[in-house]
Amino acid sequence: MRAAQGGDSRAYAALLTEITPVLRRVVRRRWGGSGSADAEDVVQDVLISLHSVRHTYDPARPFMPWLMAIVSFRLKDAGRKAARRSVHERSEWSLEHGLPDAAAEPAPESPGDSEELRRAIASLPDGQRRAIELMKLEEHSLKEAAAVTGMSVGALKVAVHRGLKTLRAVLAGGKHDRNR
Amino acid sequence: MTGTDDLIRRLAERAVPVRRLRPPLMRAALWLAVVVPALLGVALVMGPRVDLAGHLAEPSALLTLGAGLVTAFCAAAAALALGIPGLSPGWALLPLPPMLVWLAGFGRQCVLEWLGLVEGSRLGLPHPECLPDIVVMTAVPTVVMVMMVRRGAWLRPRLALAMGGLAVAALTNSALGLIHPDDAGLLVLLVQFAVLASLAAVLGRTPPIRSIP
Repeated sequence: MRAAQGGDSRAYAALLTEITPVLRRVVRRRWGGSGSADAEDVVQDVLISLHSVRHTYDPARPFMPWLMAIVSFRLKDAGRKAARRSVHERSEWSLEHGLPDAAAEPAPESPGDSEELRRAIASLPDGQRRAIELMKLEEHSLKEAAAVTGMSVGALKVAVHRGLKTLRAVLAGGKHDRNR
Repeated sequence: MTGTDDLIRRLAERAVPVRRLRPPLMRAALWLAVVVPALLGVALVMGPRVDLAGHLAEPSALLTLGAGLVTAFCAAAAALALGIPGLSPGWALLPLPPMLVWLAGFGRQCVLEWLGLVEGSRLGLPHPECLPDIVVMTAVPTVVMVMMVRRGAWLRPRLALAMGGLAVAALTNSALGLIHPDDAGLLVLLVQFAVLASLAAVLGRTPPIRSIP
């Protein structure tokens, strides 16, 4: 880690590769969320956080407590995110909401076609696509996304703005075509 | 695990040299080293209180002043330690003993004034002309402290900023007692606490996902 703080990318890659299996074990053991894909997301969040705060590591102190503190904070964040997501994904068929009314008019706004959205995102220019994926799908902060992509915070904001504008236009165009 | 391998490769490519954070006690000393000369500069412009020698000859005033400065140092160290992953949150307790001595000395003076046993200005309203001095003297250490706290990991932002606010209040209140014609009053201290606590609450409102910058 000392070498990584000095800018030695080879030592840094070796360190991250070496700690990743340890992180996977710890995260999977302590992760209350569903699925190994979610646990792998937490592992990636830990790696990004480690990168963002690597200047806070003091080589005079042991490395593992420093790393595990980051893991703990990331697990708490992931728990909060999962809880938020489960609220948003609540089924409409529940005791609180009753059964859906089959005779009712369909909702004016359909939730959208996820496959179409995926295709639209994939069709974006590289910079915009990466910015949308990191900030809107993976919910990383501007600084984290900047650390991963190497783009400036300003450039990321512009890329997200343009990306969303393009997506809106593409999806509206698709809907318009279907309605014709 | 290609995604993770790809992430590791990209992070390693961006492994530019970073300036390592010094230990919290050293950074707290650095904060004082930056801020105290600035406060002295303001003091020179304002001029020291006329009865400074007599004021410093009082043991209780000296004890309160010393406890205020130790509180400022310990609270600054706690604020900076709370941004280092792996360091105990127990650091937040470090300023507690000197703070109790400082506030006890302050409170004792207020009680004596209230009972009419001594003359003073701690229970009185601050003079309006003193407001710019108080604002300038609070602003400089606050800005430096917020910048230093933000250099650390954003793990417990509200607690760290509250500790930083305590450090600023203790330092500026002690400094005001040295240079101001009257002792800094209780109302000034309460307003400082309220303003700095609000600042900590607003600046520390960052969502948990962004807790590490």
